[in-house]
Amino acid sequence: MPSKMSLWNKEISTQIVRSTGWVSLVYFIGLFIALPLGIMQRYSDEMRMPFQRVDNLYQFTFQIQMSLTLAVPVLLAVFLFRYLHVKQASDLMHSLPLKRDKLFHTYALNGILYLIIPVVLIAILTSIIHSAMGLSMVFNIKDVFYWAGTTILVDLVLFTAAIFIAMLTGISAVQAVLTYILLFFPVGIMLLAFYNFKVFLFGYPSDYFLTKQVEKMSPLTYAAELESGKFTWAMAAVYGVLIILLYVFSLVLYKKRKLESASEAIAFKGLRGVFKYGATFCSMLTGGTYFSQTSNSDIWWTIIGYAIGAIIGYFAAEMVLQKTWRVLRNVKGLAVYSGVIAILILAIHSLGFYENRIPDSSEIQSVLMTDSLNIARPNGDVYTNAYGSPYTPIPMKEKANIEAVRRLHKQILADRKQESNDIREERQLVFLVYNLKDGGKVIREYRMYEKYYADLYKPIYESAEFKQNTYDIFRVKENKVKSIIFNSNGPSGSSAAISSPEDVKKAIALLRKDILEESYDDRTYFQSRGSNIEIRVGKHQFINLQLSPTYKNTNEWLEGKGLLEQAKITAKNLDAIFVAKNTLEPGTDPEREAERIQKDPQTLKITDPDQMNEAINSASVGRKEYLCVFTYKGGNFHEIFYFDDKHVPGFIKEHFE
Amino acid sequence: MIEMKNISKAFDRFEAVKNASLTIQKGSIYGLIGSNGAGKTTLIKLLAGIYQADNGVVRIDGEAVYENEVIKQKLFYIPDQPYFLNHYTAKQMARFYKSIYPSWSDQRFLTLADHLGLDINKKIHTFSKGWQRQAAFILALSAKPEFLILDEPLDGLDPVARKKVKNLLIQDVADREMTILISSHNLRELEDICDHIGIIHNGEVLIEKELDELKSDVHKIQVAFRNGLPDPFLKGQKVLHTEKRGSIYLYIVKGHEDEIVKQIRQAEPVIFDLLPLTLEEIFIYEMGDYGYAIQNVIVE
Repeated sequence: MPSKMSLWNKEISTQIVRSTGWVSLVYFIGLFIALPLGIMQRYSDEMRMPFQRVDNLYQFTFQIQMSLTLAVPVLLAVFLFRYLHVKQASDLMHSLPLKRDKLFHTYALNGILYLIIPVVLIAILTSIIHSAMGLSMVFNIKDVFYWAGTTILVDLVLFTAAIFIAMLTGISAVQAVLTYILLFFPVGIMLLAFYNFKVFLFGYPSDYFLTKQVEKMSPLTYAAELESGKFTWAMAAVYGVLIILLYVFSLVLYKKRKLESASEAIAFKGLRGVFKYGATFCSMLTGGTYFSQTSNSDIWWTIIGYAIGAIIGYFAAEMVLQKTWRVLRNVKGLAVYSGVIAILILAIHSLGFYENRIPDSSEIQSVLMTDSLNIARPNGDVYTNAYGSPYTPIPMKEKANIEAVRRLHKQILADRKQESNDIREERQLVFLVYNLKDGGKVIREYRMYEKYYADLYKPIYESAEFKQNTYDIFRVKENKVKSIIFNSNGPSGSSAAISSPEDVKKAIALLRKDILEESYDDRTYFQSRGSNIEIRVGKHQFINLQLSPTYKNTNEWLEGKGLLEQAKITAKNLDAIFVAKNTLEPGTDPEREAERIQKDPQTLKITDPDQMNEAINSASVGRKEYLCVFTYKGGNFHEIFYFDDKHVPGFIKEHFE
Repeated sequence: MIEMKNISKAFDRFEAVKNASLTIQKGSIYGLIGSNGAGKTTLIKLLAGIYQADNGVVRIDGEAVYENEVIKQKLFYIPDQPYFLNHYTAKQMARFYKSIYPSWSDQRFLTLADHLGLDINKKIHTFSKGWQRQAAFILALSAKPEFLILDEPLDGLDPVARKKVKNLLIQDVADREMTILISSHNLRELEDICDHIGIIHNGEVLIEKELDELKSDVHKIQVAFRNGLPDPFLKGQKVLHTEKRGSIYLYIVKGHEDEIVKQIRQAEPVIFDLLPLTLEEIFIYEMGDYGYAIQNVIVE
């Protein structure tokens, strides 16, 4: 009896074709509309659509492709394994002289074929269109293989995950829902965990972890990015292993499964508790996150959010398990759960091990202090490399700097209790990453008001090591730079560009010199002032910095070359500068005040070019003692700046005394 | 031979079958009687290898049934509500079973379908309940199983169809020594075809008996004496039940007929009748205290 030996039963296969073959057909039709027809539509008229290279075949009606990939494998698994969830079908299939292995392989392998065949057919059709329409400019055969391989892998991960869930539940609807929950779970739980740790652990670097591309963790979110992302061989290997593991685990579970669990929400008794308290826990985190975010991190609202989330999750899980909504009497589990969670939170809090940890100097190899999230991105990541700066800051090794960072860290921890929530001022994000000698890392993230820590920041910011490790310009290779553009940032939009190799080299050397000489106070005072300098190092790669008025060497050099007037705003661009004592109430709009002082006879109006230039080079962005308005020539455009007592030009100070 | 020894099966906390044992000899027709919820279906699904017992092993011809392809090829199970693959005709179902049961006979299938007048090219789910059940019988008998397990098979059949089906079953038992387990909530329904009866109540198999033996073994006696009941009376006989109506005594006695008659005659009764017992009555008396609890099962 040949059928006895094989994994396959022909008549059951026939039955599967009859009952679920249509899913495969729908998949084929959907893909056919998305890809071969999509391509033909777009390129049927060469005049209308130029033959331009696409990154991958997902760029043809990606929405349809993605919807199919996310829906079809799960739908197929639900229909295929429905025989496990309908009691009568289950009895019929399992009374037959067929072992469960054979039933499983017959159903699962048929399903796999139903997913692969449409993709392969579409790949063949696409290849035919490719040569028939001469589309080698748009994509090549390798792209077709890439598309087919990736699609099949993602399909199979979703399909085997859905089979796995089919074994765990006895209700088809629950199977579909739980499958998507399982697939999304890695991302969801990480997002929730990162956010919630931040609520309870002062200094927890959630932004750091959230930037680490959590979307890669779930096949669902990953599939949603196939259009722009790249499916790597490493990812393919991971998916391959995942498919095999899910397939094998499903079979093992099937053999252990009790058939009477058809129509039970969770088929294995031991998993019901896991399901119930897992749902309670996740729902609790969701509730806490939601209320924390909508109440500006108010701790009491957050706690209320946790309570509401836990209650909803607990009863919802209970309703699914009992298959009735009348479950409000079963509160014992919830009470026990609340107790356990309360003890856990208290334990974490009272220990304070995480929050108070500052590594010992002797443990530390190097330390990184930065406000750049780029440090969290893996090397070779598309986001860092394709656009913007290709560099990430380097950790500092000097003893003095390590000590300085530790001092700052200590102070932040000491201040945490008295921290006020001043919504008028923005907090600065700072990451502290200690690389330990034993290979470990201690990562912390704080948001605080930098001005309160100026004396602690100063030694770090003024050290040559910090500057060299943090400013991109110290990392640039001069011979790679194509051009440097100075944008004046004025309404005229004037700019100066230099591109000759000698000039580029000179400019970079001078900028480095200026930056090394810059004091912390100047850096803070002139932040966001002056022209923008863009140094182009690649097609989409550039680094940005400011041309601060204190960059004496660079300014003089530009002046010598006659470029300064295009490179920055000077007296020539302005009609006048109006200066008055700053009487703004915090939180009020300065625009009205700017209008007012231009008419006020008390106001100092500067029109002398030298005085104007002096004022331009002394103005700062944040609110300070003096308010000034730059009015530009040829129109009604103006800008508002400030001076503090220390930087205000002498003649202005005299005027107001 | 089908053998169950101390089998238990629980669904969560509910114990559907408790420590049940039964034996079904080859070639016999075994009737399993029990009220709704007594555990008949669970017991049958354990036999059919669908459920796995929590305790004990169900054996057929000495081998465990659960997940045993070889044994299950000799076994066919018809559930209480016949179920077929979606949108299948009888012919398609036949092809399906043919690929699975090595003993399948196309010829027998066609003969039986013809005999009962079944349209094999029509989708089964469009049939009436009774016809669906007959289709299930035809398919089951065409697979020529050694063991046929039927859960309440006669429900929904009209008397003519019932008769036909019963005849078919008896014929197969006679021809091929097929073994049948057949369940019902009604003893009378099975009386005419079963040779063995088992009664299940609250998950326990209370009694297993051969019918012929039972019938010849239990007797109903009415006696009256001029001077009251002699003492001793019916000494050495197993009296299952005593009742007094005026001066007439009613006895249910288990034992050899000849001996009992002889003993009574010696006591010289005024009135003496040996009355026939219905099967139901036998069971009720035989099971003593339990008898009343399950009376409704046995007597319709």
